Parts: sequence; C-alpha cells; structure tokens
Amino acid sequence: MCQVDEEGISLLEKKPSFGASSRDCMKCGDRAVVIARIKDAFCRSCFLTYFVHRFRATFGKAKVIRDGDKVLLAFSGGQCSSAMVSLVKRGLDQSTHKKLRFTPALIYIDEGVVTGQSKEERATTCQKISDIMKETGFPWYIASLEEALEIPAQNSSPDTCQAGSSFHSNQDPNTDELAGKLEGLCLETEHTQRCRDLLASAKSLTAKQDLVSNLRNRLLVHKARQLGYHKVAVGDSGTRLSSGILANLAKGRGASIPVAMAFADDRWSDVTILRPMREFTTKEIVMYNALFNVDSLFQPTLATMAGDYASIDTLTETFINELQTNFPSTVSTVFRTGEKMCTAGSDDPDAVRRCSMCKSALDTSVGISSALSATRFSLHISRKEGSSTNENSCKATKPDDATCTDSSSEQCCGQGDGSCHSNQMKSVSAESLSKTLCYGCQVTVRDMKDLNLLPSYIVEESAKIERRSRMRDEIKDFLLCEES
Amino acid sequence: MPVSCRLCGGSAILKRPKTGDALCKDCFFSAFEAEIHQTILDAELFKKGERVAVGASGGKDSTVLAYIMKLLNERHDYGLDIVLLSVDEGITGYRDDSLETVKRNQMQYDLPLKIVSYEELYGWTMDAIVKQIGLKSNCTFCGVFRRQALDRGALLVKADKIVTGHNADDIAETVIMNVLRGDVARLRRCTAITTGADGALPRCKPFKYTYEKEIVMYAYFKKLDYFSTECIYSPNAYRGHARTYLKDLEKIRPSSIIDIIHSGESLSIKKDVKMPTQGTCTRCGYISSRPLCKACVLLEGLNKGLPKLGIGKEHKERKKLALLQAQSFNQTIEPATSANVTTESSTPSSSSIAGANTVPQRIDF
Repeated sequence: MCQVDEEGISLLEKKPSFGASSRDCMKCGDRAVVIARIKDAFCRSCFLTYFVHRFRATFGKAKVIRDGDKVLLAFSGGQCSSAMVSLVKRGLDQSTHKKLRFTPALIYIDEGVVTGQSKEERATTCQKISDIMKETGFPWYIASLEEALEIPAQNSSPDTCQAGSSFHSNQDPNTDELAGKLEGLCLETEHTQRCRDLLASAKSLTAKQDLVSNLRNRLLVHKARQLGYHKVAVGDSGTRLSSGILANLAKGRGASIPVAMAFADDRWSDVTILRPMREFTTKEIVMYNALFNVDSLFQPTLATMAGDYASIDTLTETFINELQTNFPSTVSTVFRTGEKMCTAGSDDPDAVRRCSMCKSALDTSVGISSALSATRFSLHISRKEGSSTNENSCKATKPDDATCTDSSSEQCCGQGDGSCHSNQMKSVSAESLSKTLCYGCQVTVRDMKDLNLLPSYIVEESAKIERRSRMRDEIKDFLLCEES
Repeated sequence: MPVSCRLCGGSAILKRPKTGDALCKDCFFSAFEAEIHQTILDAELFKKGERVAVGASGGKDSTVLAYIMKLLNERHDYGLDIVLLSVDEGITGYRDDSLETVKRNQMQYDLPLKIVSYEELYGWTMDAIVKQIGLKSNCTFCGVFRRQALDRGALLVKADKIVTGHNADDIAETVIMNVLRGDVARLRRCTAITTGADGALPRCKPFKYTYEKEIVMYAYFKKLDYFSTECIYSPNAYRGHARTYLKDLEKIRPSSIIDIIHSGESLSIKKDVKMPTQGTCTRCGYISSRPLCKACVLLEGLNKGLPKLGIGKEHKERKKLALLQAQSFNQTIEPATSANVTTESSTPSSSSIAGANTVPQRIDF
C-alpha cells in the first residue's frame, strides 16, 4: 500500500495544475486568486466586486425591501451568516447609489440546549458571539432556543411584554453588566428541561433536526414580532438550499419546497423571511471569508460527528456535495429546478390552510388516487384498525371513533378503545393533531414518542383549528358563501 | 420468540417494509393483492373489455405484474384481455436468457405473448449499438428505443393500454433524477399513474405505490419464476447515484420512498416556465416535443456513423455531419466515382461493424 511507484509520481507531475495560481483574472487580467462559480478566475478585488454586486442584485431583483425597512439578521456565528453580516456592513458603507437602504440589527439564538452544553459553556459562547456582534455597531439581541416553548399560539392576544430571558442591547453596556446578563440568559429554566425532553422524545435524528429548525424559525419570527421587525434575513447559501430541496423531497415536504427556498418566504403572515445568500455556493462564501478576514465561530450541532447516514439531512448534504465535486453544475441545476416549482393549487395565498407546525400550505387534501391514501390503505389493510372494514375508518373525522389510527404503537398507551392514557392531564392524540399538520410534519410527529411534549404553539393552534372547523361544520348549512 | 401476525395472530413470517407490520404469508398475500386492486380501482386504470398489454421483461416486477393482473382480472372480474408484450433488445447473455423466462411465464399463466425486437424495428441490436457507442450513454439508446418498441408492439397486438411493472422505488428514483437533471417537464409527468393518455397509447403503473422489496417478497413466497441478472451493459453511472441515495434514504426512514412520491404529487411547475409542447415527429409520426423524435435522431446518428448525434449537444454533431457530407459531396463530384457514397465509410468508428452501412437509413413504421 505504501509503496512508492515511480511511474505514478511522474504521471502526477505531468498533470497540468488547474489552480488559480496559473490563471489570470477574467476581468482585469491580473493574477487570479480564486475560482468562483465553476471556472471563473478572479483576482481579489474583482472577486469582491462580483460578490458584493451579486448580493445587492439578489435584494434588488426581489423588490421586497423598501427604503428604511428594519431587517433582523439571523446571526449564528457560522460562515454563511458571518459573510451576510459582513456584506450588509459593506453595503451600508457604500457610496449613495449603491447603498443598501435598510436598517439592520442582529439576533443570535443560542442552541446550546440541543447539544447538551452546560450553563457555563453556553455563557462563554454567548460572550464570544456578543463580542463579534458588538464590533458591527448594529443593535443586537440574544435569545435562547428554549424560549420557543414559551411562544403562545398565534392569533391569541398579542403578547406585548418582553417575555423570557432574552437579552438585547442597543448601546454598549459595560463588560461586567454584560457578563452578568449573559449568565442570566442561559439559566436553566423549566423550558430547558422541557426542550431536552422534547428532543429526547424524537426517535430519529431526522425528526430531531426538523424539530430544532422548527423551534428556531418560530423563535426568530416571534422575536422579530416582539422587537417590531417585519423582515428577518437568514444566511442559507445556495448549496444548503439545494440540499434542502432534495431533503424536503425525501421527507415528503415537496409542497413546501417553493417557500423553503424562495428569497422571500411569506408563510408567516406578518414576518417575511429573506434569504439574501441564496445565490452563493458555500465554497464562494468560505472563499470570501478567507480573503477578507471575516471571522466566524464554529459551533457543534446535532449533526456534528453524527456520520453521513445519521439523518436524511446529513445524507442529502453528503450526497449533494459528492455530486457537486464530480458534476460541478449539480447545485445550480437543483436550485433552478426548485425555483420553477410551485405548490399545486396555490393561487390565493390567503385562502390556503396552513400546517399548524411548519406553516406551509397543507398538502393533505389529495385525491383518492394518491400516495397518502395508498399509505392509509396499506396501514389499514395490514392492521385492520377498528371494527369497521370501511377504508374511511382510517380517515375518521370524528374524534370519538379515532382509535389512535396511523400512529405507531409507542404513541398510544394501547388501550385500544380510543382512550389514550399516555398522559394523565390532557393528552394530545395523534389523530386529531395530524389533521392540522402537513404530510411532512405528520411524518416527523410519527417519530415522536410523546406528543404532549410538543410546543404549545403547535398543540394549541391545532386544537383551535380543530374547534373552528367543528364550529364551521355545525353552521355550514346556513352559510351563504365560502369564506376562508 | 416467534412473532405473531398482526392480522390473524398466527406465526408471522415477514415484516412489511412499507408499514413495518409483522404478517404471516397468507395475510401478506391478501394485503398485497388488495392494495394493487385498490390502486387499480382508485385510479380507474381499466375499463371492461379492454385489451391490456403487460410489458414483460422476465424480471421480478413484470413477472409479478403478469401474475397479479391475471389473478385480479379473474378474481374481481375486470373483464380484461391480457397479453404479454416483450421487447428483445438484442443483448446476448442477458435478454435472450430473460426472454426464456417470459416464455415459461407465458405457458404457466396461459397468456398470449408477443415479442418485438430492436433488430426488426430499427435494424440495430443493442450489441451492435454498444460496439459503436461503447459502454457510455448506451442506456440512452436502449431506453428511448424500448419506449417506442413497446408502443409499436402494443399497436401490433391491438392493445388499448400498456401496463408496466414500475414500482414505487422506480418512481421515487425518477423524481430524484429529474430534480438532479433539472428536467421540469418530466418531473411534472413522472408521478402520474397513467401517462400518455392524450397521445398514443396510455400506459399505467399499478405498482406505483408498491415497494420493490414487497414485490420481491411476493415473488419469493409465491415461488414465482423470474430472471434476476443485471443487464450486462447496465452501469449507468448517474442513475446509480440516485439509486444509492434512495436506498440509503430507505435505510434511514423506510417511508421515504412513498414520501418522495407524495412530494412529487404535490408539486407543480410555475405557469411562466417554458414547457416543451408535444407534437409529432416529422419522420416517423411518433409523439415528440421536437421536429424529430429522439429515436429518429439516435437512429440517424447510428446510421450515419455519428452515434453521438442524439447525445449531448446536437448542433455540434450536426456541424460535424454537415462537414462530412460536404467532404463526401466534393469527392463525388471530383473523382466522379459511384454516386452512392455513404458517409459511414468515411468514419473509422463504423467500419468496425460489419454490415453497418447496409442498414436502411429510414424506417417507416
């Protein structure tokens, strides 16, 4: 194995080196330092021009930001969001005609609870992050992931008080005060334990990752609302979005691909999520960071060191990255394909029923010949649930004849008579919950051992939708026209 | 400890890949058959009195398909007239063996069988094509030709419909492939259970929601006779990536396969995206989105000694062809030799195949 083959070495030497060093910048002819996209060689300054222009163009094309809009930048400390913050800073320093015209602020969500970090570890991370954020000169905020569990259901009375232990600062507090506050931020609350229980209840890493991203998105939107922002920018790169397209496809979330990769994600009525980094590959972002000394902070996540086959997300990421190495147009092809997709029957955005978990359009009212009804039939035929042999018994609309159908046995205490006793107080039945969930979220929920641990914003909202639809059923004969 | 069947309480013999339930042999059979029947009913695949051609390759999917179509037709009185239809691609050591299986099936199930071959339809066997094109891109020829061959065979036996054994895994794989290749037109079509209803013959896939593993299980426990060898020319690298990815997904979450199909079904393509419009081929009259259908372009390439004509960038190959024709035109004028100089003889690649230039350049169907 370790033998040195003379032939091999001479062959390797003969191979023309395809590095940037041997090429000239395609713009100005200077010596190139990086290769952007597939084979565009750039020198340092032309790369910067290209990069900044592309960033501005992404905003410009979308026309969703108006002069003076307040935009909350979701900052995780990672490569992508660090580059985004750096680009925004650059954009605000530009001369007038190229200047970005919005007012930014930063928000960091500490996810230490996910990887089981101690209070001290989390405080240290927050300290480091706050140092980076302070340097930008923008207002900044810090929140911790478990605060998502305090979020009240949407449409309930607007919560005006500054809830939770979030810490925010517009000015520069002195260092001691800051340290104390950061310490307080990461205090173990009842929610910290609940958040741990929630994640422990998910049987697969795929479900865990879905839950974490759900909590994170909810919290971002919630914080934005509280702080009076209507736009949140996240740092997702084109590479990540492409692998997200494929992962969503694999998770049965095909219907949410269009919103999940759009520049402006409008699934929340009052807060829009923006993805200004979507035109860049991760490689370009890392090159930008390296060339222009943009600091980033590596932080472990659930998927760190978990291996390629640990979850659908990790597998897909590996798959896309490997393909990208061999076929350099993979990411852009997948990305463009995603851009051409739209959800079936989404003409009126206000009229669509939305999933109570991920807020994407509900994709479960499908015809009789569909994957969903075929799966229901399979479950029915190989379990013969209930006494009825009618296929509709698995789509039971009345909760009283629901016998924990299409739930795996772990979710139910196994009473079999429809009375789930898995929780003494109020138990969440998979049956009624899944009626308000999209297909993909139903799959996620199926991987949960205890549904009672789900955040109240999901459960309460689901119950509310359920009550509304029952009310509607009662009065439907007297309604003169369809209203959403 | 023996596991008991979830349905009848007897001793279970397998765990259903689709639902994870332990079932005994008989309960699995009845569940499997009931599901196919339900799919056929739900999608209204057939009408009474129709003649249905079952695409039979001798592989597991089509063997089980032929078996179950006959079974359900009798059990539920579909009133269908079922014929087996096979395509002989002309692959020595693969298709000749699998066709033997089909012939055995024909006798076992007592169904009429029709075999159409690439040789008689196109004048080329796959063996000859591979000699020309090599092991790369040969699957493109085979796939394009097979699609037409099935249609032509079905017309010959006067069938109203073609059923194929494509299973859930195949469809999920195709969804992924079409996303990776950026083929939005096919992405939209590929999850439909019946395709081509507006064009020539409708094709349907009763196994659309059936896991490949369950088909194998069914064949295994029913002791059905099928041929299971990979095609000797098969290694289609790119599809291989998609297949590996899908198998890995299935390991992580067994429902992924059906989840992908659900995703495919709930997607549609934005209205402002330019879509190819379906027309007919000016040469052979088959459905095509371009003036010439793919099969005609591929065939023209083969016959003119430029097998790459239909693969990759057509205009580049067309340029080469024009150049070649101009050269041979000059030759015919200047030395004024025989008037029927064929372009094939001027390219070295085709000279390796004996009789390549005796093939008619155009075939009327």
